[in-house]
Amino acid sequence: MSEVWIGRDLPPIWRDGVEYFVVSRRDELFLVPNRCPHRGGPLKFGYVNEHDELVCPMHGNAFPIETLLKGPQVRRLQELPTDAA
Amino acid sequence: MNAVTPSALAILAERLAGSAKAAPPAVYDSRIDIAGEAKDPALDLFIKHQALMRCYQTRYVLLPSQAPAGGLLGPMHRHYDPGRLQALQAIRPALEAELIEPLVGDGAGSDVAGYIEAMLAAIRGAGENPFTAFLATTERRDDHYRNFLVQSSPDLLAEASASALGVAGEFGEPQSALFRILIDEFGYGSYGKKHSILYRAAMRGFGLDDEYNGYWPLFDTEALRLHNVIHWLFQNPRNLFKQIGFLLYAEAAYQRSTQAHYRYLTRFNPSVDARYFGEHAHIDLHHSRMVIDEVVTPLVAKFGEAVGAEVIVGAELTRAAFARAGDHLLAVSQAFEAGNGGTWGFAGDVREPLGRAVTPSADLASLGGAQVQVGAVGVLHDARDLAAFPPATIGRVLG
Repeated sequence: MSEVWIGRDLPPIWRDGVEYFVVSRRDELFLVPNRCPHRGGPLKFGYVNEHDELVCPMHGNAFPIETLLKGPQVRRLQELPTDAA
Repeated sequence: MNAVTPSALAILAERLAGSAKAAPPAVYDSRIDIAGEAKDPALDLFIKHQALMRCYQTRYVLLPSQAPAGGLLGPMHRHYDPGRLQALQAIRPALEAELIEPLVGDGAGSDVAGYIEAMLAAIRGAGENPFTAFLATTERRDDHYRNFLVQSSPDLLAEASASALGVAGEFGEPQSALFRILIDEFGYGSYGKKHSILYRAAMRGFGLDDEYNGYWPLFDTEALRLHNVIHWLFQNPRNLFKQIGFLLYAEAAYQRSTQAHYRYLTRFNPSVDARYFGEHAHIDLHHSRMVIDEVVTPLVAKFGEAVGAEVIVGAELTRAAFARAGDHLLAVSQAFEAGNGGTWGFAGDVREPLGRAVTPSADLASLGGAQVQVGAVGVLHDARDLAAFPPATIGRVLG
């Protein structure tokens, strides 16, 4: 059972002109650009294989989750206290 | 199915010429040749393939690169006039029955997995690309390459228009895999990455006009036959599994041939934009796998061996069509090199005035030593020299 989950059914998340999708890994949440490094395919519609690689739906290129999460545009979400607002 | 008669072709030619009288943009120039009085089966065959190409071209949306001086809508409406389209579609079944259906073989059994394994091994094991190997041996390689680009342009300047017809409908998961391939052909939504646009850049690199249908008078019978085989496949959903056979063979074989062309251009014409060939050499690796794993294999698993047999029929039809066109192209180049001398290249405007089409089996002596343009390769100084060319060669009488 993979420890990775993709927010494929969540609405698009836009920040600074870049579309992101949510990746959950263990207890962490990340925003990852929804753009395959190969040909710009929508990564959020891919799937995580048994090697913990995200497989792009366009051409089947597989990217290790660990590598993807180190990308320069990836944002790690931090938990805030519920009374922070 | 009744055979297509010379009179039916002559009537069609007159109708198509009528809409060409107003000097339309090249994309709307639908003329075909007229056989004349002398009997020449090779010329008849050529004209029938021209007519079939016109049938298929009217299925696609075409706009000229530049706005016509007299406006767009007049020539566009004449080109897509319903009565004119009806005349073309009325003659199409008979042309297809005579020209294409006899080429469709019985295939090679129904073991599609075994067929794919053997096909891939044969493609991988094939020697050097014969055409690019020949080019490396001649100083007139650019003239031959221009002819290659021109003879390949009937399909490639509107690349994937035929296969786009095969994606519409509702037929399960393989449809989405085919659509993803189509997205790549159309540049994944980026105009500059569209394969036809990359092909245009390669043509411009050799000083050629890059307008769709711009060189139609130079297309020879084999170029039209290949075009028509491809486009016939995708006109009717009845051919779905043959279409998939086309993609099965084409994606695997094209990856190798475009790789050869990319290397050739990099070596001999480094200033030419070779992205068309480099792109295919890369992306067709993916497409080949996608067709095998996501289209052929699941469809055969779901619908049985009979479907696999149809896929093989389509793949074999495609293999034979590519092989025939490739052999012919090389033979024309070799014939010109071995000939009695001629002038390399061609005049800029090949549509006006339109020279009479002749074949190697015509009564060439009756032409009185006229000059003949052979494809985009060059001009023969004496029409009689055309007799030494392959049967499907087309010459245009000059002057």
